[in-house]
Amino acid sequence: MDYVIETRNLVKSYKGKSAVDGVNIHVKKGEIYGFAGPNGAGKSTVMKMLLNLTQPDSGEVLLWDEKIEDGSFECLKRIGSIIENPYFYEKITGRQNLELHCEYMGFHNKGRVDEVLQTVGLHDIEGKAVSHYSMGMKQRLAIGRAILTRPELLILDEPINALDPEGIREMRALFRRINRECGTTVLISSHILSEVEQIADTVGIIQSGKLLKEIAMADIHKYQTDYIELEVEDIRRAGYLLEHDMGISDFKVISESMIEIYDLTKAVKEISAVLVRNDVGIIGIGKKQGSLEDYFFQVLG
Amino acid sequence: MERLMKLELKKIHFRKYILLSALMIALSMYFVLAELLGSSGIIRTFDNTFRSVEMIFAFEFIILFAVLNSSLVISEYNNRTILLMFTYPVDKKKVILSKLMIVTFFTAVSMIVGYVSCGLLVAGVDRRFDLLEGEFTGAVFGDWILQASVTIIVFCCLGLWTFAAGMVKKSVAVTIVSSILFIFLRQLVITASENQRESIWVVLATVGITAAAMWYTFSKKIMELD
Repeated sequence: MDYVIETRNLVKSYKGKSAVDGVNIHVKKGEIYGFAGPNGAGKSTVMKMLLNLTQPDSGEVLLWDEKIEDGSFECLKRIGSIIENPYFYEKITGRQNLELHCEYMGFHNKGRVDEVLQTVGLHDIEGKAVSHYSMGMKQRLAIGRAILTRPELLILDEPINALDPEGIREMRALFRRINRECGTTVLISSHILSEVEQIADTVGIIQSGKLLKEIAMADIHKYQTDYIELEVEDIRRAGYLLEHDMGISDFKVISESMIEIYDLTKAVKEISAVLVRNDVGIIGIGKKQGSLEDYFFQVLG
Repeated sequence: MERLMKLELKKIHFRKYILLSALMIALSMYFVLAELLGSSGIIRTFDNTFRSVEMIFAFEFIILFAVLNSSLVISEYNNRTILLMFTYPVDKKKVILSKLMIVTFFTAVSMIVGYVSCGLLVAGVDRRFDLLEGEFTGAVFGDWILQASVTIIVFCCLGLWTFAAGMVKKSVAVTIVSSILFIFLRQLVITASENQRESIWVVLATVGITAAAMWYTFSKKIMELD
């Protein structure tokens, strides 16, 4: 398999506390890989190890089949990244920060800075010192810096933090466009599962330093069972009717008015008819599909 | 290395440190002049005047070194921009070394300019008012140059000690406070010596400790990011 990123049994602990425990991730060329997990799960630590910012206690990182070590400069030239938060030299302007980045990366195309500032919507404030930027603006600038040198691999640690809904949508579209048009492989971490779900081709679920599952989104959709969501006025009576009149036993009472029915042998129309006939007021009824969030909690047990 | 040093200078407004250095030199000249023209009753010679200049420099330039060190190195760790620096295709140790070279070079040049300025002031004032015992001869001048060179080497070493101390916890406060402690230590050592100057053994020991501290810091502390 043509992997851009492959980790083999990565282990890292801090002061005796395990942060990453035997993580094996596999990111294919040209895909968007969503790294999902709660805060403190170990996502940033893994990403730091990919960039050789932190040394694993054991295990190894392979980027383009090359083991990452101190002199892996050719690999680093091919990567754009955001790690932890958007960090900048605050006393100089956004444009100067991007120009500095180009020089350190050995990328000489001044016109590209203008292009990127336009892409991330910061062209009108490029002359301001970064210390005067809002958090959202810094996040945009960090994304701009990550894509500046047209990298083959983007490693983005929680890139949508601090962005407003419009910004999140714009940046999501940008990542998709870069991935589609330039073939850039993207590894993106987030604790917001709906965000990962909307963008990723493959998802890695990490918790307490352990990679619990690595699965293609298409396969998650196969696993995800459809169900009928039913909201009624009298939940007891509805439950009784479902079980005794219709013979449905595979359902779950979610709240005082909400039931999820997993047995799909009876149609929505049929269920509503029975409830109406028995004077049970229906607030809402409809077929739903499980989300990545449902899958996530299913995996977590 | 030269390219890295140039890039470092683009990140900070270096002009303010040049101004700070100029201010320190001007302050030193003021103190020297005040001491020469004052009526302390002490018989002044070129030798003890030179030692007074050194004493003033001791506190000023070690603090300049520590401040520069905090701005260029320690703040990269505190502001976490070091995470960005270390993702570049550049040797990480060279990144830090380029910063240290700027700090050391700038402090050394500031001290040279300071010595020249204060030396010219002392020689000029003595020529005009004849305040000092003896003549400002070539031998006196040669001794000044030798002593100034030794002092610059020792100060740069002590400055590097502040870098090593600051890197332990990546702390600006430790960097600044350690600079004052180290200069007190240096003053104690030279006060205890016969001619109130660093012996060759003290200089060699200082250089040796500096080399060991640099080895430890570069091998253990540079990559400590968490």
